Amino acid sequence: MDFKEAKELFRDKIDTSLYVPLSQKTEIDLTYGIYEKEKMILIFGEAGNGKSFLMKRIYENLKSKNNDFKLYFISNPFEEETALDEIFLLESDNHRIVFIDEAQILSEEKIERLRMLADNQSYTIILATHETEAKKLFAKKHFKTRINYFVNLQPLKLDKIGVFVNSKLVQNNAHNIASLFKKSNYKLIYKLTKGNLRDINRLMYKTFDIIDYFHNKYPNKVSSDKIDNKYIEMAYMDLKGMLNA
Amino acid sequence: MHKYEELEKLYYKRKYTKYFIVSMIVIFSIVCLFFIKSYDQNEKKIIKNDKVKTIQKTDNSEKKVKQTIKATKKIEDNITQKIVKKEIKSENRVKKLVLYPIFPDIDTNNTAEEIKPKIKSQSKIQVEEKSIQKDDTKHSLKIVVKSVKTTTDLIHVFEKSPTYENAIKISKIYFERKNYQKAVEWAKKANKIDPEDYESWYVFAKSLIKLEEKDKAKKVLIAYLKTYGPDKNIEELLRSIK
Repeated sequence: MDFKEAKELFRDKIDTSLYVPLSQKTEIDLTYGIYEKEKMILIFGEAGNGKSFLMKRIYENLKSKNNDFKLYFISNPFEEETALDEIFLLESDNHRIVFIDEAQILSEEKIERLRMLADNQSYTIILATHETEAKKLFAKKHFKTRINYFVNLQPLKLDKIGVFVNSKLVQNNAHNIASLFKKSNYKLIYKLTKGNLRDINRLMYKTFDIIDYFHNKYPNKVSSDKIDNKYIEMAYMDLKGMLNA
Repeated sequence: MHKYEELEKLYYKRKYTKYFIVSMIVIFSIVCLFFIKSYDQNEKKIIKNDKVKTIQKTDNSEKKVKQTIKATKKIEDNITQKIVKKEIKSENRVKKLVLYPIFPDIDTNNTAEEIKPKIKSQSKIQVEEKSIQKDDTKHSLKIVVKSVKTTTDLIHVFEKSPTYENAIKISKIYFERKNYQKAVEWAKKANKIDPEDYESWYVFAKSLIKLEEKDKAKKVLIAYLKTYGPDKNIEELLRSIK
């Protein structure tokens, strides 16, 4: 695999095929909660910490398995308002599982309706929201008591950065590129991204793009046995728009 | 130029400015440290110098004190040595006297009457320096009595330290007061301590002359000249006796 292909692995999109199971325990716990037909589950954390990825992953896992659940996934409640309205009118004998991403967009009225729905009927509602919005929801006591399971997604720690980057490359047969990464690279990545998954993806995408450019134009400039930190820093500079500043 | 090439240039520019700033900070901190150290050393030196000065001062004062102590010790030693010497001298004189009795054995008790002192009370007499000119003998006999209150006081002093000087002083005072018998007696005492000194012989002979014992006086003076050789005062006194 070359650098051009490698960069695609880090494109900022929710593609569950590229999912790296960093916290298997959280995934198992969530799946177990769904099977137990918990009423409401809240996944929260800072933007880019992998909430959407985790939710989509569980949704697709459940979908792929033969079970009696009726599954719904709303990735943007604002754009998919009609789909959300349908949920309230839905009649089914099966247990219904509704995944709602970006739940902070939901109006208070809709959240209250969802709460009542989960309370009275056979529903499991999984909400994913930003940390700040989650705190607002916690402020409402009656809402907080209805939530059965909380998942707080934290940014990656230094030791997990290597796991994340390496696993992503190895899973997609980019062993030759994975072997180029050294500890100093992971340290720099952690320093620049503070462990935020989205930022890591963006930084890696840009880094591979730059390396690919120099590799093609000045093949002798690019080291064949390691990733020069220069390219990671250049990628960070470009993302921060320093060139135009 | 491609965007990434520009980015590379910017990267190197930033890197070198970073290195430059870091190196400048390092140099500045080294210079600061150097100055701080040198300042500290200077301060330490100043403190050391001050200490040395104070120590030297104290040393000097101690030296001075030691010197003064030494000087006083020396003085004391000298005094004690002098005293010891004098004592030794006096002892020697006594020994000499025992070995060489110079005064001829003259009986003065019957030859002269004791002349009563003119001054009734001998005490409380302040005697200043006086020079007594004796016209009849045509000799200038200088009897110097310094800060002596009374003859009794002098006798007490003599008893404590039986020196030739004290004895001859007492003898002279008695002679002045015309107590020639006592003058003879104290001249003898002085002669016993130091027989070589002419003064005891002189006072002794003069007292004998006053006591009308001229022949004896002559014998005494001749005996002195024979024993100790010529002496101007003794010879003059001898010539004056007719």
